[in-house]
Amino acid sequence: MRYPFSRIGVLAGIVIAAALMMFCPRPVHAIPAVGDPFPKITLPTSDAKADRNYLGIAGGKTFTIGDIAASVVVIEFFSMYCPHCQADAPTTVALFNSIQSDPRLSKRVRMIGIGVGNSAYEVGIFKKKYGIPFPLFEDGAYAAMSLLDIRFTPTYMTLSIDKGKATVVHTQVGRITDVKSFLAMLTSLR
Amino acid sequence: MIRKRYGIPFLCLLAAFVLVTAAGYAWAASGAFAGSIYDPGQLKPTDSVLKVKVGDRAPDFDLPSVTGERVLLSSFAGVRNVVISFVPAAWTPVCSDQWPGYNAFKEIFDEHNAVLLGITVDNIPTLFAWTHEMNETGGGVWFPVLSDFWPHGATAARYGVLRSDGTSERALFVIDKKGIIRWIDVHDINKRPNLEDLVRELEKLTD
Repeated sequence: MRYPFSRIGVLAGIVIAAALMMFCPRPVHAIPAVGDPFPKITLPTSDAKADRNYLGIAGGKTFTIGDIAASVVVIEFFSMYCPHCQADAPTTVALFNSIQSDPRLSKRVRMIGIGVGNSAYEVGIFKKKYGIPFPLFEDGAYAAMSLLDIRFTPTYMTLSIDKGKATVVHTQVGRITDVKSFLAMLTSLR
Repeated sequence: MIRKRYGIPFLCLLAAFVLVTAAGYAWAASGAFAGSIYDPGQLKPTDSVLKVKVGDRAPDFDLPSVTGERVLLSSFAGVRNVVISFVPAAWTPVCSDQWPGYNAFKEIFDEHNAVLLGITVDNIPTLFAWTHEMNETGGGVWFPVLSDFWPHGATAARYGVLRSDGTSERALFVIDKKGIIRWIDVHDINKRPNLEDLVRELEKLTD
């Protein structure tokens, strides 16, 4: 049975559509996907010795995530101004404490926070008010947000570190609703 | 003849391409919550001429608040320092606006014997809904939220912070207990003022 349309017409359509798809710019949702490398974001080395010891960062003015002496790093992208982050602060403290009280996780996992668009002062009062026990860093220039397309805070990004290279293994946008399942995710990472 | 043979399949495939691309744009633009918040893009940093300066008496106003009460600026004279925070509009993304920050850190204002007044040119129902989004536990914010909606922007205009499109500037005024303006920050509307600058000015007030 003959098809009513020409094969050449169909083929031409496929070729031209494919060419257009390849060469026309489409917006890319830039938040890293699982398996993507984490961009080399530079953070200032903390003044607090306790923070430096916790992260295993010796000297130098700056460091990158890959420099942290851990197998897994959980980053909370937050803002002092964000009501969801204010509400999730006790949960992050609970998560930190659960990690620290687990013999295996406490050796492998480190937590940090990056205050998107926050100044050092703003990050400092957030840390003090909510008693955040893990290191927090300011990102007044929104560098992290633009590199990573963070659109919502809190965003929790979990990275695996291997020989100084950081790879995204999990991303959660929005509040942690269940510390247990977050811990289960961390425990499942090799 | 030719049009039917070649044209129809070609057009069908082109339509498929357009749909796939449009879906791609829609997906990229959605994000978490981003699709329901209007993005005005980059605006002119400031778009007004101040009508007051440091040392002037702050123009008095009597505006309705989201709780139903009216607030008179001069009622704070002799009692409290006043911080006025004009912000451009409600429903700018709550995660990036100033007021949820001021809402969480009431102690900073208490320490400096200051009351905070939040003002926009929006109407009361809009301000009510927006400020109730700022507090996960419900109940809105601790500070009076005032509507400069009618006559539209009259108070903002008296201070010289009404922009040509009818929104107000992102501006902070610190007023002492004598009712005198001690600090003005008409900020780049696209950026959020750092809290430490406001704290520094509050610390200069002696009582």
